[in-house]
Amino acid sequence: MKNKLKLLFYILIIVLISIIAFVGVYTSKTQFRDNALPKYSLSSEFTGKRITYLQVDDSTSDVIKDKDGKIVDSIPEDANKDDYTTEKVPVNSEEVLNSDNYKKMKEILDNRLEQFGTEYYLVKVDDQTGDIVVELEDNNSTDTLIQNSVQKGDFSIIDSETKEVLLDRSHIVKASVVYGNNESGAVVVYLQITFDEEGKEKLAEITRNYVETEETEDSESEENHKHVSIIFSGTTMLTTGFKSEITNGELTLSMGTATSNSALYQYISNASIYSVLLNNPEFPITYKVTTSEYINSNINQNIIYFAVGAIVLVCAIVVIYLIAKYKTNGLICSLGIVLEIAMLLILIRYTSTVISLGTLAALLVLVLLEAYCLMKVLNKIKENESYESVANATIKTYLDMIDLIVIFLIIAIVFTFMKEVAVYSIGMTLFYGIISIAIANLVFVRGMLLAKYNTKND
Amino acid sequence: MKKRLIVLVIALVIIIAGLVMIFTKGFNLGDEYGKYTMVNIYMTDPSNIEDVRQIADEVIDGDFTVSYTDEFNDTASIKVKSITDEQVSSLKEKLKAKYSFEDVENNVIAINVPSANLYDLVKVYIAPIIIALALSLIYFVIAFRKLGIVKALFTPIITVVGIVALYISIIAIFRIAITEYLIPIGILLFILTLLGNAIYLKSQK
Repeated sequence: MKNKLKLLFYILIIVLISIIAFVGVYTSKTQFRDNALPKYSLSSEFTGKRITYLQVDDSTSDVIKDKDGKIVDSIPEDANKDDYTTEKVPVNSEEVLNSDNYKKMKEILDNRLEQFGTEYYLVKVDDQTGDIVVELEDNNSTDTLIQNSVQKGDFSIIDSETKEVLLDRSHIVKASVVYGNNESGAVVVYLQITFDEEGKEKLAEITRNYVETEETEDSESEENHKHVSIIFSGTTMLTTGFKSEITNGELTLSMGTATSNSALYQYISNASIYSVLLNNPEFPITYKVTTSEYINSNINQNIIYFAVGAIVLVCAIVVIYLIAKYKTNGLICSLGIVLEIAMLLILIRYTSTVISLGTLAALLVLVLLEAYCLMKVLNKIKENESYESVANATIKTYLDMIDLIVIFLIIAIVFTFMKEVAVYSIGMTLFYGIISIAIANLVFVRGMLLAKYNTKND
Repeated sequence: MKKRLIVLVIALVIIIAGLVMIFTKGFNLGDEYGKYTMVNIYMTDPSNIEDVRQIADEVIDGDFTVSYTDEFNDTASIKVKSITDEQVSSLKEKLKAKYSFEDVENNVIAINVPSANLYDLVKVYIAPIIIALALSLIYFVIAFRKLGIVKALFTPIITVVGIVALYISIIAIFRIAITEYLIPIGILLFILTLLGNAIYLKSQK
């Protein structure tokens, strides 16, 4: 009687876990009945993606020259307009529009997106026209990501008045994000740009010439109003003078002083964007974003049903085989398969494991592994149906399968530690799957088989 | 032994045929990753997609698909392998007449989507597959050293590389369109082959 109750207890727990996993736990905290379990995180394969279309900028810009042929920003109000000429110059010259530069564009975009930590991206380029299509996952940060990725990435230090270029990005060796504490203990985030030998000398010269000196009563020095502008991607990042000469070839720009974690994150994020853009070459061609829109997934409901149906079918075949061959023990083990999947689905929800097409493949591997494991357990019991055999069959099977489990864990762990969502989702599913299988088999299947054996021999 | 030899010869023939196909014709990139034109129709209100399909049917000769691109059902997209400039103009005219677009150039935009580079689709899987294979091989050599290093090392290498090569060859020979489903199937085969090797070598031990 006690063993029958035990068996019933195990079955009830399996039913309960299965209901939680497959149906959900519905509460009415709001006016709607919501599932209390966390929602599944779906990859962009299921949810849709953002497609951004970039075209070579074929516009022209006005170039104003004075009578000496010097380029100026605008015609001064009091100047004689006849002394100035305005030319329409294409934004992209004919020479830069070639397939080598189109390929280079793709390479730079690929590198930028990877270094921005983008989980899914695909850059397609037409070698003939230069048209570029960028596919990205669609989330809250996609717009910012597009905005940052398509920046030209040019960098120069210019005289703020004469616009003379004093130092350009050809001398940059690397850019990095560094932190430091100010007097009050707040964290200051810096963008540190390191220049090559020639750049180092130029920077020293610039910082000598543009040192900010203040007029004081007891000194004869005059206030220096000469400033430089730091130009990044066509816009002025900052206009400043220098406090002292920089001789080590490292230009350190403050990105902000953080007094909260969110501010710190924001400053680091901004500095990282500049660092990624400076560590990659600038775009050889200027592009314009034509459209950027969300596109629904190709994978419709029917295909998902088909994939889930295929897994259910494999499970059904395994269950029928187990029951036909091993009768009651086979039925008990079939409950183990159901429990394994149910526990895995709950784990996937709570650990926010992303469900991708690879996850479904991993799920199929897990079902097959569980089936193989259970068949070995059942064969051991069939060979010798004693208490010891039933009690030790599961553990012995695991020891027999140690090589298989090691290889399985190698794959799971290697895949989990990759940064691409398509890969780590497979690894995480395999990893949580093996945990689910272990719990299902060592606790529930073993317990039920023992309870059933004892009931039979009571 | 004879059966094994026959299987090996068949596999080799398929792989060679696959290689010939890859180097002569390449892969069939399919609708998703091949070159295509996307004609986006930005409607002012949610609209019936069947009307768009009917207009597209009147203008486009070949196969095409029409779908909503957003959840509000006010942007439809026609996806077609190739379309001429004249057909795009005709499409714009008909859509303008149907939906009374004031600025049809902004309401109907044709985008030529270039084909994807196959390497871009598989590159994320290369490192994990090589690392997992290398670590598994180290384990096989240590755990099954009694079978001899040649067997412990080369059986998994030949089977894994062979199965993956067979899979790729079949895709190339039968011109199976490359879709997002093919890569997970390849991963599935890779994992199952490695696990199968663990079972096989254990049985030999």
